Amino acid sequence: MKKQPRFRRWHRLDNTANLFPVVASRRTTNVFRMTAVLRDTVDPGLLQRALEQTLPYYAAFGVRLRHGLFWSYLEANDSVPVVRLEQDVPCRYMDPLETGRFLFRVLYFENRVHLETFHVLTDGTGAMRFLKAICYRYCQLAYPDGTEQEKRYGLEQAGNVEDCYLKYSRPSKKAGYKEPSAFHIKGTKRLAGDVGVVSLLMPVTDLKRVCKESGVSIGEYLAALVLCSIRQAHMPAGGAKKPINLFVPVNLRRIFGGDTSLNFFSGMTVSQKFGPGPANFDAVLQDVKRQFAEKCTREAFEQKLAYTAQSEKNLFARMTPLLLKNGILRLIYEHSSHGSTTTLSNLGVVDVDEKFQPYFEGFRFLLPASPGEPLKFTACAYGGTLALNVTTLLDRNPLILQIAQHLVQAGVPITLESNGDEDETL
Amino acid sequence: MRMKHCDACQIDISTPAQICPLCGAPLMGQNGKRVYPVLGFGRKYHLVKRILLFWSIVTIAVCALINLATMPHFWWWLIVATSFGYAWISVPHVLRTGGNAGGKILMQVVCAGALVILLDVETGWRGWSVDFVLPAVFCIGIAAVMIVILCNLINWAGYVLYQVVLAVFGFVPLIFYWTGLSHVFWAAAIPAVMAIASITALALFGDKSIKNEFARRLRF
Repeated sequence: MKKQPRFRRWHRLDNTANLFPVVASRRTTNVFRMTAVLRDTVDPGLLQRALEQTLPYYAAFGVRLRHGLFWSYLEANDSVPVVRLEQDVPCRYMDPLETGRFLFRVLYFENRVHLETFHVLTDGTGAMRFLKAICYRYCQLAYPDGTEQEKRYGLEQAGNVEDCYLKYSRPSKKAGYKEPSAFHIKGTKRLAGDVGVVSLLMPVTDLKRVCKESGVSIGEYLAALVLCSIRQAHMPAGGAKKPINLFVPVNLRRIFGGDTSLNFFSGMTVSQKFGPGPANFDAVLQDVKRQFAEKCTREAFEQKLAYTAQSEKNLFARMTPLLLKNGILRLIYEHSSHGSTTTLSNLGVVDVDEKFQPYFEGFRFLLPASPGEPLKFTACAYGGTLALNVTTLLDRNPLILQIAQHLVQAGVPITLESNGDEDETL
Repeated sequence: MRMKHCDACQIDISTPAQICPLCGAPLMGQNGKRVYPVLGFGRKYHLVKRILLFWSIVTIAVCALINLATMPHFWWWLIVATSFGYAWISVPHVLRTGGNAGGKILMQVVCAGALVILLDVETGWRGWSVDFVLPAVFCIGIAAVMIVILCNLINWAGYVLYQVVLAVFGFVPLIFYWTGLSHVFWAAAIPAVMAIASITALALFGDKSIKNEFARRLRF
């Protein structure tokens, strides 16, 4: 029989993803990590099977990046991804030649399963869905209970690869947006390629009680805490002219309702200027609350969407060859990427299917620190424990001590886990 | 025995630590389990490559010195530098694991073309590069892509972009001839004929998957 050439499924990069292949490098990787902490040590053979059985459902992940004359696109990848023992620093550069052209990697270490994703594929929400689906399947294989072994979990939106940015953007006349230049954290860098990881674990109930006293949400409280700690730890006593800009990614699925497995996030910048004298935490907290209410609205994001969607629809941009377009994008990025001091991404509570809850201990979420933002913060909660995760490129991090001390003084007990050596401070 | 606890910071530490990671105070209590691996050697250290690169640069420098000291009116060290530059761009690209064969051929054609034109310029521009060598390089490129396609017909769609780009290159010598840059008509015409043959083969024998490939590669 004559072999027939096969039709390969493909989809376009979503509206924000166009930027990531252009700016990704070994220093600014744009690779983030989601970790599931399981109850027992991971069996690599079963994890491999779970991955192979889950991937075909996830159209957003089983792809390779290819380049056309005008745009890049993601094409179905027939290779088989391999789970590996974690041996390197988190959020390492995604070299397609290492991963069989996939843009994600699945790693394991003791009782942890890591999913590292290049941001081109999807955002935190999409990656967490994929990680949970792999872990559900793994639990089914590892703990067979004789019931419904064939039933599959966590695949609800797996095949949905529509570009919600274009779908929900409405034409608007407002021109581009630009954040004013921000204060940058400086310090001695670690050796090239080394990344410090710290998770501060705390009971959600205690943190909630503290937040309730001030009438704010956990997200707002953590944002204010990060802002004030940067002020205390990294600014000169007299304050600084430039404000501390905290970038807070926002999941647009909650605001617009679209439910894609591709990227659908945007962000807001919470800005705070500090003069001489110690920071007044309560005043900052109330100001952060006001900024959240002001900036995290459907109208504000509609304008951002309109700007980025229009630049993709623009005929001139479409007719420019990819090589030239990437050059221009890179210039725009270099010019505009000094707007934030750091990032705090709050994933919220990770909900796990009731059937599998006994097998999970918790989740972690790490963002790649970069030369421009040498520290990055994330938060996620599961089973009554909130993990405030920090990745850092700096050798000394008084900032983390500040955060921990503030929380302890407020009455929130802290447990710390880190990747550091036994005889070293962070 | 309970988890390690820092009395100064009032925090528990669940990973192995002899001193508090935050304040540096010594700790008592039971060491926890590691949750991140001890990092081994990270990136590969390409010793042979580094030695070769070292000698390339030293050789060029020595040649430049000898050249400028003995016969400063003719800069032959530029030829040495160009050749090394060519080798350092083209060889690693071919040897790189993965990558599309069509793309590698295209890269070799571009590198070889640049090399011969530069050498011609450095030896006092007599036009042999655009008259003969460039058309020959394009012919080899077009033929090489067609051979790769014949060997792997199923994956024709994967090579089609490079086939088309090389076919466009095939007409460049004719343009050179008409603009007076080169002077040998038959040499300029051969790559154009091969380009026409290549595109005709694509149009007549190519299947639906190629149309699909064009749709995604040329989407704007």
